[in-house]
Amino acid sequence: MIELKNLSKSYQNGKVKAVRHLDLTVKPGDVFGFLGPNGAGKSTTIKMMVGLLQSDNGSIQMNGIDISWDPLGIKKIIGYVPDEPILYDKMRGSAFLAFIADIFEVPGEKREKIKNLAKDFELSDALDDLISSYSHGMKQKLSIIAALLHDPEIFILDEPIVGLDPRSSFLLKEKMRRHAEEGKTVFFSTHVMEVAEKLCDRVGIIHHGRMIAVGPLEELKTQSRNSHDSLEQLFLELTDENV
Amino acid sequence: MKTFRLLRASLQGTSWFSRGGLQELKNRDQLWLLPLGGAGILVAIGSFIMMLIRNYQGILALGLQAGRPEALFFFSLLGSTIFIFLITIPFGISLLYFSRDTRMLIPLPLKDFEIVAAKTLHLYLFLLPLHLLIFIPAVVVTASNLTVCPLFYINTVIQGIFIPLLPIALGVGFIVLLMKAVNISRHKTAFEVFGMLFGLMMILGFQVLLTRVMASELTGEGQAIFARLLELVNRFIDALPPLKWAAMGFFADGAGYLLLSILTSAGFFVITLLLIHRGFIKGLSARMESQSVSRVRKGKGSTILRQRSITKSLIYREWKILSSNSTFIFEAFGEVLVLPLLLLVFSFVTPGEAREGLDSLLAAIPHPELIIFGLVVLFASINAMASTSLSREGRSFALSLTLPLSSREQMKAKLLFQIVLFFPAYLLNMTILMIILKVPVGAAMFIVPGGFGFIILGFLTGISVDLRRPVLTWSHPQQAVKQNLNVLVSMGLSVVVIGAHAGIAWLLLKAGMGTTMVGFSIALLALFFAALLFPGVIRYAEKSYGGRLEI
Ligand SMILES: Nc1ncnc2c1ncn2[C@@H]1O[C@H](COP(=O)(O)OP(=O)(O)O)[C@@H](O)[C@H]1O
Ligand SMILES: [Mg+2]
Repeated sequence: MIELKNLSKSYQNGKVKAVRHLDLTVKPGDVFGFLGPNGAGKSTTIKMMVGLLQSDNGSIQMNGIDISWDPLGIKKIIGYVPDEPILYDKMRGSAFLAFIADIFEVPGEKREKIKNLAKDFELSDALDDLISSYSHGMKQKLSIIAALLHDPEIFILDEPIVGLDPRSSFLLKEKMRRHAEEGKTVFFSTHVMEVAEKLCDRVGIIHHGRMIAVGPLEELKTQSRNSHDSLEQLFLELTDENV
Repeated sequence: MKTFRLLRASLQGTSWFSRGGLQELKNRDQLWLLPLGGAGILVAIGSFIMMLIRNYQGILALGLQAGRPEALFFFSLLGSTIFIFLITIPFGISLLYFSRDTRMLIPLPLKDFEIVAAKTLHLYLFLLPLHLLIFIPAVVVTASNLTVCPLFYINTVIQGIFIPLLPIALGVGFIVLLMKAVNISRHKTAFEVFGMLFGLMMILGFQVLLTRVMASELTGEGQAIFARLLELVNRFIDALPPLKWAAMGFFADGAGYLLLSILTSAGFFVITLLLIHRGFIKGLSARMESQSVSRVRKGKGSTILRQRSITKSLIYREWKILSSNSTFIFEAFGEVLVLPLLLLVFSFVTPGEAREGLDSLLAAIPHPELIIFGLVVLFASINAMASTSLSREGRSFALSLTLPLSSREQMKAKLLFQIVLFFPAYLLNMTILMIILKVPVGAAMFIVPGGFGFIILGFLTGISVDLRRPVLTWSHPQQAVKQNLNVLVSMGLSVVVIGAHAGIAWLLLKAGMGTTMVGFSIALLALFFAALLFPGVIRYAEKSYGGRLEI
């Protein structure tokens, strides 16, 4: 369960307004797609949700925990995949995963699962190499495994499909679906419409920091001025600068 | 002319003098620090020049006694040549082989020679000021002590420009041969650290040698040393013809020598470039391949299964960040090892006769246990480790923010890491000095806990500065430590803290308290402040780890 209320954030002392008065609720068991053009404010919103940035206004709650009251409590139940992988380059892949598992206090007997995750993403052979020798896609996979290894209640991903090979991208979508089916919450941003269309129970479209449409996909399609058969057309219409 | 276009681009793109570098300072509201830093550098350079001039006067007198007025020029040019050669090696390696732009340059339609020449000229521009810093004072000293002809000034300008070409050519030639002979990529970090330590040793040795020359002159001790020095001067000058010509060129009938020396420097430079440029780009691309295949034993990630405590994991993380590049390693170990190194070098260059005189000098120091306590504490707590602790994490600091860790845990691990790094070094330094100064062992009663307290205090001041405004967006590790203004601020704060304690110690001594009691009180005071401030710093850290920073 994610609840954002009246969330706002600006950069450089108010000069750049990145997110404005955002309200949003995502229910457990849902995969929520957060759509918007480049620079719309998706990453900024996500960074506030995971504790990377402080909001100027508004509140963030997850599973009933308020981020300003108990940031650690929230971080413990989140798995976060950033848009650019953030890793320690001079660690080996396995040492990095061990580090993350230690921080989340994953007990030794549950760690066989982490190796299985690596096997699923075809990263097993590279686990003992230095992360600095990984390709971009491999880093991204490592980042996904690190986010999943403590079985988070809330799975948050920022543009996760970009840079993955077809098999991994298929696998990730599988994992996201299965996570939601287990009653957990999945929240991800993207600007690739096909992914959103296939995967999401509900979507929200953000533009210039404002939420301009939220709802189940089918509902959104019929609500709009012209009836659209694809999400892409709806997206183009809603975010068109020239109307 | 592609060479010069390339040179301009690399200067614009990489140096912090560029418009982009200034813009970044401006964005961080730190433009005011520029004049402050400038003033600090001027003071440092000023005092270095004053020291040089005093030494140069001694060398000039020595040379005149030996009938060789060119001695001063010879030695200043020799000093500059050695320095530049040594500095060329680490800087040249990173500029020629490991700078970020090589990845971009390889696919561009450029010739080997153009890249090598542009990079070598970049190196030359970078090292020219150093040469002038060592060379110009020699000109000033000579001109103010001897009558000089007009040729002298022409020569000054010419030598100012040409002399560095020789050591740079030598250095670059050495590097290229070295890189052809061994695959340095795999041991790059170790090699760089070794090179920097060696450089540090040379600088320290040079300093100590100069002070020693001065000291022997002042006390006049040992005519024998002096005679030996005269002989050495003569032998030295004759052994190195190119520098001898350069030095002789400064005097009345030296036009021929001048020409000879210019031809040597420039010729050597051009010939070296022509000899080494071949296959440079090919070597670069081969190196990039070998960098990415650093495979090791295959355990299929069994490391994952071993669980460690949070604190241990965090300390491991600190170590991985510190050891991720040579700049950080050198910074840490340079600071830890600087005192033993200094003592080592000193003991090498001090002859036996002088050592006895030194002993009696040391015996006259009042309260030696307090003096060395203060000195070693100063060495241990004035460091760039705590004040760059967050900065060193760089972009990966974002990971620290998203992990479910309290600021207490983060700070605890960083503190423990600092103690592991500096406390053994502190004890080692202390032991060495206590033996040299024959301090009674009982002083350890306050020296051990006191050092502990001061190391914590030093950590707390340093980390507070870095918590306020860490430098996280660096692209080269130098920017995180050497060019990080937090280091300066925190060093200033540490000096104030230790100075205040020294002041209290002085007052207590004045009031008639015994040496050991004073030491004990200061140690207690430091421990007390450390315990008092720690919770405050944790509360402060909570803000920095709570998303206050725009990243
Ligand atoms: N650190 C920052 N400083 C200043 N402006 C920023 C910063 N990060 C993002 N922005 C601005 O905020 C807006 C939203 O950015 P972002 O949330 O990254 O967009 P998205 O992820 O939707 O592409 C953009 O206009 C961007 O330029
Ligand atoms: Mg984004």
